[in-house]
Amino acid sequence: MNNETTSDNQLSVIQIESPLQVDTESLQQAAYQYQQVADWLTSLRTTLGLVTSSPTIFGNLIATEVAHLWGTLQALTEKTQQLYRRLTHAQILYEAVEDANIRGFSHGRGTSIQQLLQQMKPAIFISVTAADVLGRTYRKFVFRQVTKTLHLQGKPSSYLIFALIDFSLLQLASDAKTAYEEVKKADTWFLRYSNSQVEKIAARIARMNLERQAANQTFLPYLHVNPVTADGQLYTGVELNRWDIMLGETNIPQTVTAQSQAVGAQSRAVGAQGQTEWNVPVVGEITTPLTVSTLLQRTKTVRDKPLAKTASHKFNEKPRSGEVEIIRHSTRQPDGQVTRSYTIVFKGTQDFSLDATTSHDMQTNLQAMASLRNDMSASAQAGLEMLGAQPGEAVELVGHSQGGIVSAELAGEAAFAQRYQVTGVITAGSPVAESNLAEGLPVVSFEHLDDPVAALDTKMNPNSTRRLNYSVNGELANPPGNATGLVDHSLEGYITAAQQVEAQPERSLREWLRTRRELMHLSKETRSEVFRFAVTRKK
Amino acid sequence: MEDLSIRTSDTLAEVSAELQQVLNTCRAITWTWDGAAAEITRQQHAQLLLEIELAVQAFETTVTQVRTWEWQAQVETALALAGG
Repeated sequence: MNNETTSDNQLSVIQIESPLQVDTESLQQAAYQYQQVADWLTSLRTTLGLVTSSPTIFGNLIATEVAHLWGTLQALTEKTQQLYRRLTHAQILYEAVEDANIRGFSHGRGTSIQQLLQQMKPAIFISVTAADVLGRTYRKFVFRQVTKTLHLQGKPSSYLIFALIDFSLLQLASDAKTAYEEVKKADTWFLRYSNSQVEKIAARIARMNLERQAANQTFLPYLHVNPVTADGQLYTGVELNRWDIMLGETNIPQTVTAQSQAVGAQSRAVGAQGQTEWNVPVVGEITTPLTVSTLLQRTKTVRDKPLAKTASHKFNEKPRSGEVEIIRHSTRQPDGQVTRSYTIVFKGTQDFSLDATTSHDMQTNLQAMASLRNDMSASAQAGLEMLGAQPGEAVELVGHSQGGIVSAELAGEAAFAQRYQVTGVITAGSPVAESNLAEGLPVVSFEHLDDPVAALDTKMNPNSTRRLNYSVNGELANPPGNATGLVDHSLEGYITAAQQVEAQPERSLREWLRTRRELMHLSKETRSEVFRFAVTRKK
Repeated sequence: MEDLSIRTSDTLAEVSAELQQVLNTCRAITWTWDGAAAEITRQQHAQLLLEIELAVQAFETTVTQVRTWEWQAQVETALALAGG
């Protein structure tokens, strides 16, 4: 396995369940005790570390034993620290859940803003009240002094001290109020990124593209979805109208069929037993992924090892094409029939502009967040159709970041869900709390408490039957070089988190994986073939 | 063998005694949290207790072993001196 994902780490992963009986104060207290124990064990280890032995046979024997015990203490320290991290994580998480129940506003970041506002209120109240009380006293004092001055021609010096204190307090109250208003503004800004706002942005993109189309500017009206060979060549694929995709008017199965007839025999499949009408080359065969972490690992492979010559694995390198992977699982059943199921793998954002030639851009993000058909979801369906997927066949979707948003959007798309049997969705670091996922659809989601991308929906993922939400906290001991700089959003972190959960799985996860195997018809007989499709926006 | 290794068994005995106290402290840690994630945490806690118990035993066994080696080393040193 990869060093990046297996190195010892500081992550803790907790399945979010609600409602629960949780006493966060007792969690905090227990976490503190574990920390004390870990410190104690460290000090014992230090004591052992100071032991020296002579270089004789007996001395060496003793040194070996001491080294062994030192290792034992180290392992105990790590386990104690894990418990400390886990309880601290649970405490933060369930305080946030409690807060969400009160306010309907739940993410770590949102919660911390709300907490800050709450903390600021008493300070502002005290400052304002103090300034007010002192001000009144001071004004009375001034009145008296002025009167005295007038009558006695004395020097009213002491009220100046009051005036000075009053002025300082007024200043303090004003500063506190300003700070409060600033934080409130930040809070409002955060809330603006609710779905309704994203929908408006998506509509704006549509208008922008319409204007560009009218002015014959940069709008790229066509989407090309081409099968990719193992050595990066692009085969003939389909061309979709992006305007129709945006408006949700494309019937992809019909379009793919029509274009299949149009391209003629030359580009048609050579695949055995009528596997596919299109020439879609298998780029590899893999061990059937049976765990969440191995499925997430595929998103890493798609991100880091794109095949199309027009693609790139580097962030913000302006690649000409995006890429989507489809894994086809073929399983021979005891009655001799072969069942097929498909895993669609989406990677994350690769370009922060709104109209990149690759579809892994902000336009796709905003459209998917608004639950609108987008270029990535359209490409995946075109890929499925080119592979000859039949109505009713099982399809699951996996994605990191943008890939998770697109997965949730496509799974919730009525036409897609009617055509195929959508069996599940796996997301990592994706804001999918408000997606249109059907109740009861098996979903596994991972969200880091400090992942700003996952927090964009400002909500905790809903709990529902078969939906497992995992909260991640802490950091990888050796965070990988992450182009976006968002360590808490890193795919490697999420893969490690999934591996951690799988090392000691709850019953719910075991059940989830069993259901997945059944719905996807996976067994030891399953053959899993990998296909890649280049996704390019064109004029 | 010189005094250093004699102190080793004493040090080990001291650490062993402290580890027993660590175990008692851990046994006393409690919290209120139900659900699947809490269940896993309780399993980890139980596992930690078990491993500390085993570590205490390992320390005790090692103390005995190290005392024997220290004694043997002293005997050998004394014999060597007498022979010399």
